[in-house]
Amino acid sequence: MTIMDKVMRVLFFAAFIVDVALGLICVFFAQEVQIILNVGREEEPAFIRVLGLFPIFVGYLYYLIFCDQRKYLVLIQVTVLERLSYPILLSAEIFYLLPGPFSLIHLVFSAMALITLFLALMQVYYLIQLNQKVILSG
Amino acid sequence: MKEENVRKLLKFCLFLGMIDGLAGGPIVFLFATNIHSIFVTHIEVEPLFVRTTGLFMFFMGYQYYLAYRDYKGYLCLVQTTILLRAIFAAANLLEAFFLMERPFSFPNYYFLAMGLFDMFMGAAQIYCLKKLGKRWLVLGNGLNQKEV
Repeated sequence: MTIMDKVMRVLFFAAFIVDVALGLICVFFAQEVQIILNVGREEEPAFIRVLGLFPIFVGYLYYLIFCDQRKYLVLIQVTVLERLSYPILLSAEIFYLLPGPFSLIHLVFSAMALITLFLALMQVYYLIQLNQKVILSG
Repeated sequence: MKEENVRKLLKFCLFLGMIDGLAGGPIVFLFATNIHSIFVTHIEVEPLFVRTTGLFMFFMGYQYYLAYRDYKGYLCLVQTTILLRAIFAAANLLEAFFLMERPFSFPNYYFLAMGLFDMFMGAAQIYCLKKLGKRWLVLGNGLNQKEV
């Protein structure tokens, strides 16, 4: 196992923990999330709960990658697309869609966009080093 | 069921999943405000959670697309999406029966339909993989993406 493998293994484990934690918070504390982020008041924030399921699923993919990153290369390739698209959406939210002025939600989204972009770039670099395709096209 | 028919059923499920994600995702993403207004009467802010759900749906559709193109080569994608369907079925049914407001109205029926669809997809995928002699739940070892 090379140093790059070890670094990526740590990153995949961190991604697994963060994604699952984020997902569980959204699912079980959806009311609190909408209050803290000040994104309106709904009786039942169903979309926050539903959205929380996706990070749990992505966390599961990262868990599989963490178990054997060479064997589950296809999952690394698949998650690259998700990791690359997420910062684009977050940036659009921060700069165009969310109302100003700059608040806690902007700060949280900025941090998430940067972290996600960093992980995506690391995955791309890792795949290039392994002479693998970065984006699968079927 | 004959093995050939099982393969056809699996391909059909993967096709449905692909359409669900690749068509539904952009619709939810682009028309987030309209979709949000169906469920919530008073919209105060940008429906960012609806929009992000659309993005993730598209990502899910991409996985189904790859699996549809070559389910033998991308067997792990067929296996992992089963978990996604299972948690979505559970969450949608919980929303419909317990968490959304009663009596039953459009949002409840919507989540009920989605829950049943997810349940059907998950069950069909499990059935097909079992019939084809493959593992359907992967927990970190024993999965070979090139397994046929």
